Amino acid sequence: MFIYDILRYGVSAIGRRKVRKGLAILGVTIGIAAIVSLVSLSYGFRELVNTQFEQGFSSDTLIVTTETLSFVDTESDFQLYVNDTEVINNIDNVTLSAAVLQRTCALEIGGREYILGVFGIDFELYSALFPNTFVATSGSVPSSPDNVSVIIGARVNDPWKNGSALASIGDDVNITYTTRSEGMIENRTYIGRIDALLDEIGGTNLGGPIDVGVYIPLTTAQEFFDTDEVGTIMVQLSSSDESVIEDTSEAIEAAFGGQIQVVTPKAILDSISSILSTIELFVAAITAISLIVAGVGIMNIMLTSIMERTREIGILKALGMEARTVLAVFLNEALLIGVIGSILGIVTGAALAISIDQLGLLSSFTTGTYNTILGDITIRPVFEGSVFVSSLVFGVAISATFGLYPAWRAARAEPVEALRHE
Amino acid sequence: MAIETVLETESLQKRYLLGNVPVDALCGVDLAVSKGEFLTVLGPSGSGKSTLLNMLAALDTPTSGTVRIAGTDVSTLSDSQRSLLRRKIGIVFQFFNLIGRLDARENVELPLSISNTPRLERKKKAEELLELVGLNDRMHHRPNELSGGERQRVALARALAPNPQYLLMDEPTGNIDSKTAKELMDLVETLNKEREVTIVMVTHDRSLAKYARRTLHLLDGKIVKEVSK
Repeated sequence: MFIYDILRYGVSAIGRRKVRKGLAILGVTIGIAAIVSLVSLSYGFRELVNTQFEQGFSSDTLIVTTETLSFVDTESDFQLYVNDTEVINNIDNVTLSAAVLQRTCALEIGGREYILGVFGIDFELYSALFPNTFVATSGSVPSSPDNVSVIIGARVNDPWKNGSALASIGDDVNITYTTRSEGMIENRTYIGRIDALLDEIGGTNLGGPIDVGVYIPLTTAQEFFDTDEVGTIMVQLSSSDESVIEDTSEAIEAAFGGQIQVVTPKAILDSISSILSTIELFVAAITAISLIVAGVGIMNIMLTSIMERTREIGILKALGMEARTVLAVFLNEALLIGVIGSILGIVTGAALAISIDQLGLLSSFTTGTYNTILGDITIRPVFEGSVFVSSLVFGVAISATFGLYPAWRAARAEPVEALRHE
Repeated sequence: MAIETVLETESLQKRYLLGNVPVDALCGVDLAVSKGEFLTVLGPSGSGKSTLLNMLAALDTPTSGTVRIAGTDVSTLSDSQRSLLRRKIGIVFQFFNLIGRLDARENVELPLSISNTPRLERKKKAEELLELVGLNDRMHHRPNELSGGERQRVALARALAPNPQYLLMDEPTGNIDSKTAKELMDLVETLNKEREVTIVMVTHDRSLAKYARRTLHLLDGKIVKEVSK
């Protein structure tokens, strides 16, 4: 029998039991749609993380922090101070270091109030550390700022990302810091002046500038927050060589008696990458299970179909169809279910991923990260041809695997007995 | 002139197991069918006539004895070779055995499609055969839209599609009314006389014996009587 005829015969058979075959197709569609949408979104997430890191970080930058990344270790009460940068600057291979003094403040800008992170930094050093992201789109980063100088991130001025601006250069901004002084709650406020508006950065930026950041001079921060303690010191090295990074990290840790952490961008990227890989694997495993369930569905339906069509199998054999052609005929039906289901699944999955993005179903997630180290992020699905192709291959392979046994049963049926079947 | 034997059985035995009870359907049948012959095997139900027909159609294998189709011992053939052999045999069943979702023409085309006949050729052939059996206006009707007699004529057209050397019929008139049965049998008789198609028909209907030139009476798996015109 010609392949074309086998295909046509399969199409006519699928058309016969539309509901039942439709349900089998639906099973595959759901499985493939789940794979395509979830994998595209997780690729999107991975891409987001990668690009954000590449943008915000040069690999020769280190973060020195007192905050422990471990949940197990008891927190150290060791503190870093503003002038610890002098200690760090004396270590080999360190070209510069900048202390970052961060507090959460209430901000009033152009009639809107925010609760945001306010960062006290040395503008000059910070510019040198982040020459690509700490860049003004209007105004300029003052090299010798006065006490009221303020630089704001792009999203602070345009929270809806629609080009509207709350304030312009030279406008005032009220900064209120709530603290306790001798047990009493105390609100300290000062009026700053917007000197520069940062260019859009796009989000994640460990230790570096973010779109929702507000930057004031370090000296102003020390005075306003009434402290010399800093959470992090950013360090730039003369080389991004692995051995240089490692040696310098050790030297810095040793200089503070091992009480601080030195975080390398690579280490963070690696650990996020490994978390992402685990998530991707988990997602893939769940969706694979759903496809196997779909495969069992196909097998069930094909077995039922073969029982019902025993007589037809007898007729085909009586008319001279060879066993292997009978096998091909029934395998082809299972494959058709797989192919139709996979194609529908790819289309549905892509549509699902796009609509999750378009309808902002992940926005609660992204707004949740608005004021975290990730900054303002949006996950956009990333469609890779290889995902579509491998989904199709997987869908078809599942239907072939589960269709094989029913087809084999059909092929080895004895014509006389099959014809006698009512 | 030597008469060519196209179908032959020797001491043909077939034993079935019905549960654990052995049943002898055929107990040593010797039979020879010559080219162009019209043979009827008459017998009551349970006499083994359907089993005999299945043997002659290479659909079933004997317990002992031999079946030779066109000189080939069927028991020496592989499953695949038997399939290829069946393509040369036309068979008409009592219950039509048409494929319900295919229309009349597609049913007739089916054996041609199985034997890789090109599409246009088999379409033409199917149309010719449906015209021959008087169903040219019923080509695109499915079996459930056809009467019993029409269905059996489609089945006959299908059996004739591969230009078989012989035509086997199992109670071909069993499910159709007597008037339609007569028309069908007249057609079969014409095929035998004009196209020299060798025909073996098994039936319990004695009135059909008149069409055949030779009639064998089968009882309890044995040939008990032979009548030639």
